[in-house]
Formats: sequence, C-alpha cells, structure tokens
Amino acid sequence: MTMFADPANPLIIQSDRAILLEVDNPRYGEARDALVAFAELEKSPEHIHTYRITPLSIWNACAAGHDGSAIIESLCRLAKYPPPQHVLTEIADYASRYGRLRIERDEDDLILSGTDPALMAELVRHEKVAALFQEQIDELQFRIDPVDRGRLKQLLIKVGYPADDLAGYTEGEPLPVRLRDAAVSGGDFALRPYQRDASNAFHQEGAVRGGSGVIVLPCGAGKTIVGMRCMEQVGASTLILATNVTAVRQWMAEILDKTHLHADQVGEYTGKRKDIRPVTVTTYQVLTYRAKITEPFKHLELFDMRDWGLIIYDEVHLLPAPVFQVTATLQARRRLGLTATLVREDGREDDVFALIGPKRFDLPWKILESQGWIAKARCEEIRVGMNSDLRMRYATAPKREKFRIASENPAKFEVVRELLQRHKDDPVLILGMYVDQLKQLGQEVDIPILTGSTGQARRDQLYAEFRRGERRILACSKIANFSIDLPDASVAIQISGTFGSRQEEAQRLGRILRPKPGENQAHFYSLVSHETVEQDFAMNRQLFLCEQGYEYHIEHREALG
Amino acid sequence: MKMLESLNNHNSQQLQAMLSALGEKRIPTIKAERAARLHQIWLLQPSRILDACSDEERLLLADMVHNDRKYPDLVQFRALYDVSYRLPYYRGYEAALIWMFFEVSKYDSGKLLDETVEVLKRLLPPPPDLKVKSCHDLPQIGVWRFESSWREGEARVDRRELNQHDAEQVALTELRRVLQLTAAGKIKVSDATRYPTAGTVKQVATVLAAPDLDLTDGEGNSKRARNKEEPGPVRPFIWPVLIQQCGWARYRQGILQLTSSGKKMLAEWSPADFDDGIAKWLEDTTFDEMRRVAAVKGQTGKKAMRCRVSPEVRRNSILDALALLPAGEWVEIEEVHRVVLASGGDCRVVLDGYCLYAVDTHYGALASHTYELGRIYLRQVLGESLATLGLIDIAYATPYNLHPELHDTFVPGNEPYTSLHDGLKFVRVTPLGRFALGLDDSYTPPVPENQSVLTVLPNLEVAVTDPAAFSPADAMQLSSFAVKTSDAVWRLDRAQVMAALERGDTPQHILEVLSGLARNEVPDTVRQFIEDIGARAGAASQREAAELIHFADEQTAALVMTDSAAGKTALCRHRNTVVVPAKRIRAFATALKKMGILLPT
Repeated sequence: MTMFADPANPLIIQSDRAILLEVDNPRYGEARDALVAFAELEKSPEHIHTYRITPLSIWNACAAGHDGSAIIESLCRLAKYPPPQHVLTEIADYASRYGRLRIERDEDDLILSGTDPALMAELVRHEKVAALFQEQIDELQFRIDPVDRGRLKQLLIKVGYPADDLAGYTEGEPLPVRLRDAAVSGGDFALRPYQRDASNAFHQEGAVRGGSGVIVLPCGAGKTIVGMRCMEQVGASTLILATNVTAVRQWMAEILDKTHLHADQVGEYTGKRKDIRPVTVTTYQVLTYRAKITEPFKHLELFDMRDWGLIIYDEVHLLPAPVFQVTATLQARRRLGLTATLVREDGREDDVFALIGPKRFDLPWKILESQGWIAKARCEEIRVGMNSDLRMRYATAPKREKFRIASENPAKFEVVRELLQRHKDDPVLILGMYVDQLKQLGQEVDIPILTGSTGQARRDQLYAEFRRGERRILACSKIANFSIDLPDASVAIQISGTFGSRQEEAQRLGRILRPKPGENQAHFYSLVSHETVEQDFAMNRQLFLCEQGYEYHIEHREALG
Repeated sequence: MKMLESLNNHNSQQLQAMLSALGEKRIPTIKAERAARLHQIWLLQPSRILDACSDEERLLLADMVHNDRKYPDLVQFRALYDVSYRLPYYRGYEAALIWMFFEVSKYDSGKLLDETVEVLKRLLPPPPDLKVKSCHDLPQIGVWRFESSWREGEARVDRRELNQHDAEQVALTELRRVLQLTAAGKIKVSDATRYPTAGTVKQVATVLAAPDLDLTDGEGNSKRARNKEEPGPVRPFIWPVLIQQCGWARYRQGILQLTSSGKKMLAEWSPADFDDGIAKWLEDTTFDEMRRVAAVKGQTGKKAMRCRVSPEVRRNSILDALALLPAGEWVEIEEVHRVVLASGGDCRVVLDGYCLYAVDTHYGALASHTYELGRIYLRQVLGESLATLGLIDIAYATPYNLHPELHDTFVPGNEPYTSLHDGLKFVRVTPLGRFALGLDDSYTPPVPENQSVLTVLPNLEVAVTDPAAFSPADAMQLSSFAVKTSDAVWRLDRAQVMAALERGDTPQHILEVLSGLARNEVPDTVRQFIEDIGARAGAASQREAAELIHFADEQTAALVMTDSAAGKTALCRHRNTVVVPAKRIRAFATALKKMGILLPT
C-alpha cells in the first residue's frame, strides 16, 4: 500500500485504532465523510474528534458495500503520518472475514454457506455453532433451522466471521401508513433530506440486504420521523419498543400527528394499558417485567401476538438482554434500531450488529447544525459564590446535605434576574431539581412554576401561553426532562441539576436545540455554587457536553455578604 | 624612587657592564660615579640607552608605558606579541640595561620608574594591537604538534578528522527541553555533588536536539567499553549543572526545581534573561569545571583549595578573551589561550602546581604545569559549558591518546585522555555568544522550532497533533500533570496536577506550558479546571507546628483555658487536651507554672 501521509492531512491514526480528526483542517469534511462509513464517532469536542475502528465498524462498512482496501486507501490518503502497519493489517483481516459466510433461504429452511472449506471445517469443530447445524449438505453448506437464525448470527460474530444474512423477511400483516403533508397539530410537515436518506438506506427498496439495521442520528434530528417513514416504506404492522412511558406517549402522539393512522390503530402496551393494535408501542421495562426472578418474561409474548412486519427498537443502545434473546428468534421480521450512539455501556455492540443489523446511516450533529436543522448552543457555567453564613452552613453540613445546600444557594436568584434581563426578548425555561427552590424563585421573580403536581389543564394553559409568546418565562422541575409537550425555548437556565447526570443535562439542552430564527443561537446556562460539590458534579456534566462538541464557557459571580 | 637611587642599588659589576654596553670608554672606578654617569646619559641621551636595548626590551617598555603598566607581565607580554623573551638577571654579569628603567631595591624590584614614563612614551612608538590568528573555513583535519621536552627538536605530529558542532540553535532548543524536564521534576541530582544521577543523564540524552559530541574513537571501542573507558555523555551531563549555575534551577530534596527566572525562561526565552543567567554562571561557586577532569588529581585537597584561582576569575578571563576573537571566524584553541593570557586573564586552576598531581601524589606532581592546567580548564569550559549554552561553535576530534598539555607527564601512561575535550581544536563565537559577551546590543534568536504540537480540547484531553515535533521533553512535561491515554492523547488529571503543584509547580505555569505547546487557545474548561485545583490546593495558607498538651481531666484543661495568661497562649481545647502553638509553648509553660502545673518534658 502506497502511503500518502502528509502532515497537512487531518487524520492521526493511533495504534489502538482510535483516530483523531482535526476539525479545523481544510480536508475535515472529506475525512469525516470517509470515517463515518467505517469508524464510530466516540467524542466530538471542539478542534479534534475521536473515531474508533472496531471489527464491528469494519463489518458495518462491509455490510454497506465498502471493502477493506477502500478503507485502507481512505486512511492512508487522509493520514498526517503513516498509519501503524498493524492497524492496516487488522482492517484488511476484519474486512476479509465479512461475507465469507452467507445465510440464504431454501424454501422453509435456511442454508449457511461458505467459500472456504477450512473455515467450514473449523465451524464444524466449534461446539456451539455445530449444535445449530441440522444437516451437512456438502463441504461448504449446512442446513439450519430458521428459529436458530439469530442465535447462529450471534455465534458467528463471536467466532469472528459475521454472516451476510440474505434470507429475507416475512412480510407481516399489511398496514398502509402514509405520512401527512401537514401535521394535525398545525404547520407543514415534510421529511428532511437526511431523514429520507436514512430511511432509504434502511429499506433499500425492499431488497433482502436491507430491512434490518441501525440508524444513528443525534438528539433532536427527528429519529421518530425516520421511524415513521420506515413504517410507511414497509407498510406492515409495527411493534415499537421505547425506553419509558413518556417516550411511548411521544411516539403515539407523533404517529397520530404526522400519519394518517387513526387512534384505534395505535395502541399502548405499558404497565397501565395493554392495547395491541396494528401499531403497538411498548417499553423495554414492560417486556422484561416479571414478578419473580424465577418466572418467565410473560410480556415477551407480545412479539408473537401479532404478525409484525417491522419492529422498531428506539434507543437501541439501551436494549436489555432479555429482549436480545427474543430478538434472536425474530430474524425473519424487519428490524430497525434507532440511536444517537452505537456505543453501549455493556459492550454488547456485537449483539446489536448480529440481531438488529448493521449500521445503515450515520449523521454527525455538526452537519445538522451547519445545515440549520438544529440550533447552535452556547453553554455557560456561572459559578455563584455563597455568602459567609451559607458557606459556614455548607462547610459544617453532613456530606449528603452539601449538594442540596449548594444547589439552593439563594445568590443564584440574582444571577437569574440578570440573565432574564440579558435575554429580555427571548423565551426562557428555568430548570431546577428542587421544588422549594423553584417556588421561592417563582415568588421572587414572579413566574409560574410547573412541577409534577401541576394539573394537566394548568400545564396546557401555560404551555399554550408560552407558545403564543404571551408568557416569556417558565420554570420547571424534573418534569421538563420527560414532558414531551414542553415547548421549546431559546434560553435555558438550569439552577439545579441531578448530581452528575449527563443524560439529564443533554435532555435539558435538547429543549433549546430546535432551529431558531435569525442567528439560530441557543443559550444554556448552568448555575452552580462556587467551590462546592455542585461544581464538581457540574464538571462531569460539562465534560460530557464538551465531548458532544458544545462550546462551554465559565463565568464567576460573587455573593454579597 | 628616583633612577639614581635605583642605580645605586645595583652592584658595581652590573653598572660597569651597563656602561660598557653603552660604549663608554672611560668607566669610573667608584660605584657611585658609575651610577651617576649612567643617570647623566639617561638625562642627556636617553635614546642612546634605548638603542642599546634589544627589540624585545624596547617592545616591553613601549607596552608598559603606552598601556600604563607599572610592572612587567612577561606572560602577558609574550602572549600579546607572540615573542619569546626573558628579563635578564639584574645583578648578573651580562649587561641588563633595561633594568635602568625599573626600580631596584633590596626588597622589591621591577616597578617602572615614574620619571622614565614620559620620556619613554615620547621616544617609543605605541606597540602593535593584539592580532588573533583565525580562519574562515574550518579545515577538515586538525593537526597537533607536540614538542618533546626531553629531546630538543623532536616533535610528535598527530592529524585527526574534525567534527563540527554548531551549537546555537541546538542550545536554545535543548535549554527549553531541559527546563521542561526540570519543571516536570525529572532532573535528579546527587545530594553531595549536585551532579545529575545516571538516570537523569540518560533522560536528558533523550531530549537532545542534536546528537551528543562524538568523542569515541573509531577503533577499539568495544575494548574500551569493557574497560569502562568510554567517554561519558557531555551535554546530557552538563545541562543539569548549567541550569543550576545559571540560576534557572535549584536543588530541593534530590531533584531540581525551576527558579522564578527558570520559569520565566521556560515560558518565554528572552535575551536579557539569558544574559542574567550567564552573569550568574560567571559568579557560580558551587561547581568547578575542572572537577570533570578526573586525570588531574588532588583538586579537592586542602593545598589545592588554598592556592586555587577562583572559578569566577577563570571564567571571566575566558569570556574576556572570547570577546576579542574575530566575528564569524574559527580560532584555534592554542590561540584562544594566547588571547586569554594576552588580555591579562588567568585561567590557571591553581597558582602552585605542586598541589595537583597525576596518578600518584609521590610521582605525578604537576608543579611546572600551571598554565597547561589552565589550558585544560579552558578546553573544558569551552567544549562543555559554553558550547552547550550555545555561545560558541566548536570543532573537535576524538580525545584518545592526545594529552595535548600533559603529554610529557605521567598521565598518558594511565589514562586514555586527560580530559574529554583534549580533542577540542577550534572555536567560533556565535551571534548568541557575541550578545552574551556584550559585543552586540541585541540578539534575535534563530527562528524557533514550531511549538504548536498539541491541541488542548475542552474535555480536558490533549491531542498531540504534530507527533514528529513532539519531543520526549514535551512528553515528560505533559506527563507531570496529565496521563497518557493513547498514542497521541493525554488527559489532564486532577491527581497529577496536584502532584505537580506539590512539587512546586504553579497553575499559571501549567497553563503557560499548555499554551506554549498548543496550537489553539487553552479552552475555558481546561483553564478553569487547572485554576480550580490550584485554588483548592492553596486553600491552606500557612503551616505551623503546635503541641497537644493532655491534662489529667477535662476540668483541669478547662481551668487552664480560662486562665488569663495560659488561655491566651493556647489555641483551643478538646476534652482534656489543649492545643498550643509551638512558638508559644514557653509562655504557656510559664503560665502553667504560675497555676502550679508543670509542663511535662
């Protein structure tokens, strides 16, 4: 392989297969587009983004039609310095493994076939793999039970030879789904180009190579819309698995708002309701519920209660283990995974690949931001001092109370007033964790407070006023983290947060990312008490946002007294 | 003293010889008359006396009167004019007319007579200026010629290939890297000698900007290695010494720490700060470069210390001489030594060579080699200290079996070389050297190497974006406050930053290091992270010792605390224990005594 390494290039390829990409480099765009195909984006702070090449990322690329030599050529062409030789060798090796085995349909049975007799012989000697072979047709072919399709794919991934699954799908119960041109809630509705590209990459016009896989889109990019578009393309009854009841309701609301489906065609299968309709939305929690550890997961039967043509796994990186097990038996159904990241905390990315499918589409958020689909966010941490009395109270308080004392620092109110003055024309959300603190703020600044105990009618009224611009400021407790009908704002002021919860910070930030008129700029302020545990927790959250690429600034305010 | 009085202090025979030398036909028989006649000739025909003197004598007198010298310095005189001249014995049988111009007395002789100065100045032309032999192009081969001191006319000629070391740019780069290592707490030195440890020398060797001086001999290296005769490293060894001498680092508990001027130098190299460093190097009394010449023994003995010429004097002499060398020209080391002497300098190590010896105290006295020892010292300073600091470029050959100064002593039989720098042949003052010597008013360093090797990320990571330019010293420095997480990525680490602060580093300096290496501005989050740690780390402002005094019971302790005298001196009480600052313990004891309680010993 000829090395074209040039210090002016944007990539630094490390021996641990992590790749650093210089964002300010003139060839950034070219390099990013190349990397998206065969590497996973791990971090995207300002200046340098980190991608990682893994066997799965290579196989994902192969599944999308790339080959090893093209990947290596891209790396060499864009590298600042010659890539470590072993990395190139590994890439070539991993890429060569994909497609050596294929699963194809033979009437009611499935055939595993290969081209390398030595590899097939090796599989025969693999105890777990061989157990799934019903019959050896010849040196290069084995008959397998369709029920074992997922299990076999899982095992083959573990052995290091992923199978190219060309066995196709059952069509499922037909369900015509049509997206609306205008949302029921008002306003035009049209697919964004990248949403269309994503769903097309998944469906592949009904070909056997399509129909299963994962779409990676950042928060706020409209993954739900992509899911609905896939439903439209598949045109069959759909089971949607979401992370919690709030998300279930959000899915249902979106489907009813943006498709021609009727309410009686969309069912909720949760702890409260057990409706099974042509489109059923449920949670991972319900599916994996069992009264005792010794009992079976009875709700997993939902997968067989209807002839589903499509199963959508929302936030697929959170897919629990029992659902994986069931999914292994559902390989004849089309499967769509939606996520913002393929990285799983439990490291089971290979199961996602084997059982849901390869990555079909990936779009970095920076592109969305540059195209104006999401707002630019400026994050600012404002460190507020505590007066001497409060400092002493904080210093002598038991450890568990320190966080609350720091969070409820009254000096934050003065900063809130200042920020409200700074953004006197913008819609502002004030977000807090402690209801007492919010109530006190509400009294001092004279703004309405939304908490878990606020009735739905009152909520609706306040939201409507906020949307119409009659009310500029809303203060919300943790309900803001989950409430799907909370209106968007361009400024968020977080006066207290849940310790170091990065997820909460991201969700709160997500509230202000909808595109804004003008400069498309949103502001996220996080108020923390200076030199307290709150500051330490805030740093964890802050680093997470930095790694997502958000600009972060820090300001100081001294407390009086 | 007047001339007549001085002449009367000569013996009669010498006066007679003088008159004869002047062509007097009738020489008085009485000594006083002879003296009077000589004095009369001086008053009436001074040229007659000068004409009778030799050329060298006239040159000596001209040098003295035109350069306001009171006494003749023949070492300097010979060096200045490159002549071989010895004053005749003033009481000898041969005429010593030159002595007419010097005071001669029973106790002190040799001062130029005041009354002669103006006359001589009028009659003798000014002597020529010092001429330094130099060459613009460096020869490929250096030639050493050693005259035999045993057999007249015999000489050994040694020809060796010369290596050139252009020091200036290398020195600037290496200085920064060594200071980085120091900032990282990586420079360990011996408690006793302040010389770097073997590990440190190895570490410094990894950050050199150019290969160390090649002092090996192409032949027989393996054998020498076995015999441990391999010349040791030069720059890796001397850098830790130099940064101490220049006041850029100081010793603390086994390691070197940057001083404020060292931190300043590291943050931003400036000619003025460098100049200050050279000034401190000149005055340093901790190190004596001659100690590196192991073949010359007895240096730390009492005798040697008594008659030692201060290193400050020696170093000043050398720098004064370098200032006289022609700009941009190569000058041979023997010529440099001549210039040292000609400029009135003295780089002799000791005034009495009997206190130093080679091989053995009984057989190897270097009594008659004081000036040769000075030249060894000169080579050591030039080849090691000044070339490392970048003040001079050098051309050198392998030192094996040269012994340029001590070739006729006991040294050659026992040592492969006298000093590592025996092979130093030529030097050339660099622009940096000219600035440090005060010859140029300003100095613009060569274009510095590109330091934008890192990108500091807001998530506390540091990515090495130019691995080729990222030196081991940069890595060392980074490792003092960050942990390496992959080939090109480091993460700022709270514990590491704390450790760096504990070693005496400051948040400001850490940020300066990052800024110095980074291609981007240090992000807010990183700046705040470091400053937060610094602020927290500095929360304890002062440390003071206190003693815990335990009383028999809580009530007694409370009683003590309420006592007007004892209570004032104590800090606080907890149950039966009272805390008393160590500095107030005597007052506390006195107060207790008044209460009838004795403080336990």
